[in-house]
Amino acid sequence: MDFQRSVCSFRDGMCYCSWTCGFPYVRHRPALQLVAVPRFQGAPLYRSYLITSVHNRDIQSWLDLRGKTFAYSDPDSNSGFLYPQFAMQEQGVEPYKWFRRGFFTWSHRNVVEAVASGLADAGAVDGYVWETLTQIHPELTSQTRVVLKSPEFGHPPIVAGTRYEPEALANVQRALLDMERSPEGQHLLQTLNLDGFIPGDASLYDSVEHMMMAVKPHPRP
Amino acid sequence: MTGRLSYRVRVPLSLIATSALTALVLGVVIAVHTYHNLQQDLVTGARQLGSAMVTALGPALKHEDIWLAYTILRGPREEAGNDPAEMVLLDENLNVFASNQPKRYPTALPLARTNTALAKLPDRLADGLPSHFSTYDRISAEHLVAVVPVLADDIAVGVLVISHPSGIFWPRFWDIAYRGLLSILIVLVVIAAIGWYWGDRMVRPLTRLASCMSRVGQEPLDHIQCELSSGNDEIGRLEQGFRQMLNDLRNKASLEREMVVSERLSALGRLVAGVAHEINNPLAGLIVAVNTLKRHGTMDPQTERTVTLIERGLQQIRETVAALMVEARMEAHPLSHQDIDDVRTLVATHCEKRQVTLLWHNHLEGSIKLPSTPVRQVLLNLVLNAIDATQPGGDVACEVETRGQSLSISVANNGTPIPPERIEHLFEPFYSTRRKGIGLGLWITYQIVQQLHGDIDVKSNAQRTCFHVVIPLASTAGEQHAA
Repeated sequence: MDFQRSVCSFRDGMCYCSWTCGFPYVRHRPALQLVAVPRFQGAPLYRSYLITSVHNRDIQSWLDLRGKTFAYSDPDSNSGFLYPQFAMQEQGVEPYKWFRRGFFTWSHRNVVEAVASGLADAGAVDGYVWETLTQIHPELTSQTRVVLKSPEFGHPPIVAGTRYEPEALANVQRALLDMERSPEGQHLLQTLNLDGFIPGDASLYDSVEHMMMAVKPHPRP
Repeated sequence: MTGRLSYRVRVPLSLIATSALTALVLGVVIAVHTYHNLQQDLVTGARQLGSAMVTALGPALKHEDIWLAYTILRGPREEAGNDPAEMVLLDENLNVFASNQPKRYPTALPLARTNTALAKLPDRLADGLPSHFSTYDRISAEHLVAVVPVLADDIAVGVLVISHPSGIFWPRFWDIAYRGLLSILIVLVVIAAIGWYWGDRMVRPLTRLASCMSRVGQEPLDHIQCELSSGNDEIGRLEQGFRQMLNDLRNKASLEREMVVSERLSALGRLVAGVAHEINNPLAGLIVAVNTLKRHGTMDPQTERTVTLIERGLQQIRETVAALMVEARMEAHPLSHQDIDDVRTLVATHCEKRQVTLLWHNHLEGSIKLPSTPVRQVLLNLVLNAIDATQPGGDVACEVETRGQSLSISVANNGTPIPPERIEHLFEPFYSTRRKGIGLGLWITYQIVQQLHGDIDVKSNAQRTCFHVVIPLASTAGEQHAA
């Protein structure tokens, strides 16, 4: 299972409904509406993990990453880019100066691979993805160690453009919410390592919006 | 050293040695060639791999996409870690951008600071990045180091370093060498077998000849019977020479034997003649004295008996001496067909008594210049001897003919053969194995033939015993005799 969370251009009308990260959701909030939020381990919440190699005992905090290489997942990811930048800033350091080199791997799974292979000394990964990978690719995650877990954020939601027809939207929403009540749905949820879906609330993503406002953008990762 | 070895061993050994030397030289040439080829393959492989990769690595370097560069360098995920080649992408400052061995070549670290053999490379690149594929020796003993530039608008913006273990072709090399060696060994075994067979074939006539030759001088020449080939090659010629030598030796030995016999017989003849002459002179006087005594003396009966006894004894001495003193009477008439047939008539009754068949072949025509009496005596002696030596029911064959300027008489019978040791003494006087007779028949025959300047010889084997007499005709013999 590879989580490729495409950020679609809703304004172009090419895509009406998408599973996206909380970061792009809050960034484009006026043009989007919430359809459903996945429940993971009982709550519509997840965390960002700071991971390093299982052999690396030196890294215990963000400050230990000075002069190290760091793998982000994607510039549009909350857990894989926004939060680590925010966390570093909270510690009083600027990431692009603090790291020897930071780079994007374009997916959460690739972050785990980059850390496991030694390409990056550490990386920021979606906690939900890491936990799911421990079930399906334990040989990969066993090479990594979780250093820190972030506070909980609203889980990446299912969103739709505001121009979406209400009836159709209601049908999609009902299908998602009813998924856990049918065997096929349960099977699908099991594959996705989710408990089910809830309608959700925009306030779930307030902390993400707060971080977005706080982080000073920089052209280099 | 090799002189002590048999050719049976030397021929296959030489073959194997020659083949092994050829194989060794060929093997070394092929091995060196293969080594160079494999090494060249390695360089070619690195060049192809490098140029294919830099095309994809260019954009990754340009967009600073380390992850993309890494995925290109490590190849498909399933093969990650299996590639023996180390590939390091360096930016224009010779810092590691990405590599397929991130733990050995940490990203964003100067290559010179990595704890690897490639740390020496930046010194060699100090004059600027190469603009085309280049290999660098003396960086690492075990690695082929190749550098491929990553070009953007014909300017090198980074380089891909490929460090190939140079020993990677050794397993392939040994595999080729092992197969080659195995084939050579198989061929050598086949050649050894062929060589053994060939050596054996070549040496067999030589061994036969050698063992045959070693018998010369150890055994009587007549016992040496060797199977010899008659090829036209060197060995064949050797064998022919040996055969010729053996024949010459045999002829020489037989000639020597004949000479010994003939010399002995002629010495014996001279002795007999001398003795006879010395006996005859007093003997004649003694006989005359005894006759005179008998005719004119007055003797009592006792004395008369004694004188008669002396006279008979003296007569016997005279007869014996006369018999020994063979004197062919040359004044007889010339030999004719009838003279020969007369002998047949003479022996006919004797033949019947002995139940022996006489086969008579008289080819004489007219009369020939030889005295009839001695020739007839020779023929008679021989035929009588032959009849006596033949078992009842046997044959005696007699053939008389002129051959050129000589007369040939053959008398053969199929009786008991004469052993070789007797043949040597056959013509000596008083040499007889028969109970009757005193053994002078063949002595007389021999003496007559000698006086006629002829030759007599005898051949005897299990089937047949044959006496052969050749007497030259008188026109030449008479001259010799007169001389």
